Amino acid sequence: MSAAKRVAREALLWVGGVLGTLCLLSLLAGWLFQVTPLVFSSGSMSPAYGAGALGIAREVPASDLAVGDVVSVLDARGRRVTHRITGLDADGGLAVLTLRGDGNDVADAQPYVVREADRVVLGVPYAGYVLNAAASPFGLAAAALLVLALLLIGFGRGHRLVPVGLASTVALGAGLGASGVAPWAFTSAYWTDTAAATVQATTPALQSHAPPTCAQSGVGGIARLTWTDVNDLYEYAWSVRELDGTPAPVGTANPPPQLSGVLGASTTQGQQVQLDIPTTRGQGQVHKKNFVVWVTTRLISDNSVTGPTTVTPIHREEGQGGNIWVAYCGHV
Amino acid sequence: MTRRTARHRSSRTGWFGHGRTRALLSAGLLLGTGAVATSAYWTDREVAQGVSVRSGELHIDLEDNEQAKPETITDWPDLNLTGMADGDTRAALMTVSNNSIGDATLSYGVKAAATNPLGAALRATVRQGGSINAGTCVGGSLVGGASVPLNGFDEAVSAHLGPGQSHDLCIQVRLPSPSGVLANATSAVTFTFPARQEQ
Repeated sequence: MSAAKRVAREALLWVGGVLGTLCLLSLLAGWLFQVTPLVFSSGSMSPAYGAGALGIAREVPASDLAVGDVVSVLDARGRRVTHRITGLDADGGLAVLTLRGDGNDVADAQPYVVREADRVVLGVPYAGYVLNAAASPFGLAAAALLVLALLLIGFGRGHRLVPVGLASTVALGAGLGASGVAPWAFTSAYWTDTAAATVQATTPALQSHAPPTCAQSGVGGIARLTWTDVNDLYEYAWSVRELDGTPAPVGTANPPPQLSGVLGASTTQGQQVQLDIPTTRGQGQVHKKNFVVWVTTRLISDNSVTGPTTVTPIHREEGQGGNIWVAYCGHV
Repeated sequence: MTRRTARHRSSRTGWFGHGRTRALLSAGLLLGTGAVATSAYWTDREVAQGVSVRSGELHIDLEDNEQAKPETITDWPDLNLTGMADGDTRAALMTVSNNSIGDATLSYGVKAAATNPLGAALRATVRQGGSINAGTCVGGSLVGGASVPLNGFDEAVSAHLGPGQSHDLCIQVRLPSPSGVLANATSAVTFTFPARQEQ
């Protein structure tokens, strides 16, 4: 074998041996000391840990965590996130963490409940790119070729263990990765942003009915008051009163006429509410005079009054049959 | 020149100098990278695609805004919620854009909050890609439930926004009848759109 070949062979063996040993040692360290090398795949933790950085994280119990620590945890969908603790609420062995990327204006939307977390203790810029490249299909193929070459160099072409060893290494590596026991991990340090829009919502202002219109259009030409229903939420309390505000006399009719009541609860907004002033019966001195009709708008829900009471003048004149007192619009 | 064997060398350089030892140890490289690749593939396929975003900023923007930060549209003019009587429904379209620096895809959600008894009575319906027809949102895909309480609304939009993409969100607000809300009531309604980088 020429000297150049021998040097190349030795160099390959040394490089492969050292890299392989480093891999095995990091696997061992991960298992023995709960150390996880993390590759940052996004950059919201820059400049402390930029995208492509390799972070070394050590698992610690929740009670050891403090605000300001950079921790790596799993989110609700099982994705690994590495951000800084900005809020911590310890509860027994558990901690509720609020995390935020250093480069983010807003904290992560969800809090993280943890019993333990991987605290990042060291960062190596760009080293994660190497691991990322090694784990790519091209990197894996290169590693397989290198290992195959080294096994052939070390054991010779005819050695039966070479293909078996290669296959079992691939199977073991895949098994370790799939089972989740490999300590290495890729972590997102995702960016966040938020935007907002505000609107002021209101309900219509309190309303009151317009003064009723009086017309002689009721049964037998009696006074009929009409006004527009201002809102479906409202009803109208009405009453016939003396000019001094005391209730008007109901007279001697049996049953007595209703000289007060509530209208319009079922009237649709915009439709007319209609009130025919009832006729009274009795001796003329208490009936044949001027009266007023009070109408007040109020809420159906709690009967609270929503505006001023309107006062509509009416008077009574004797109708047919004697001692029957019919209401007419206006005062005399 | 006599052929030197690995055995000769091992006596000189110790166990690591043994060619077969180094060849065997080099298998650790394949073991390790294989484990990393498989683990990444199983746990997060997106991450396993590679470390792509080196620097940048995530920007979710509303309407015509471009990389506004912090971003709040006060009194959003498109949605008129004044004079809401019982049974009233109002709707408006909100454009949500991904104007991030760097090729970041983002996921986002819609949150809503509203104060006072009026706010507690309001109902919201959000449709991604929907349009307004006769004052209500139609079409598109429903985000969360239909006509659910507006206060506390917190739903993720299932479709992600790629770099430069935008979505139209149809936002509908209804005051049910009867609401029991008094006249002259007010409520400060806030829609928030939290976003996170996905790739």
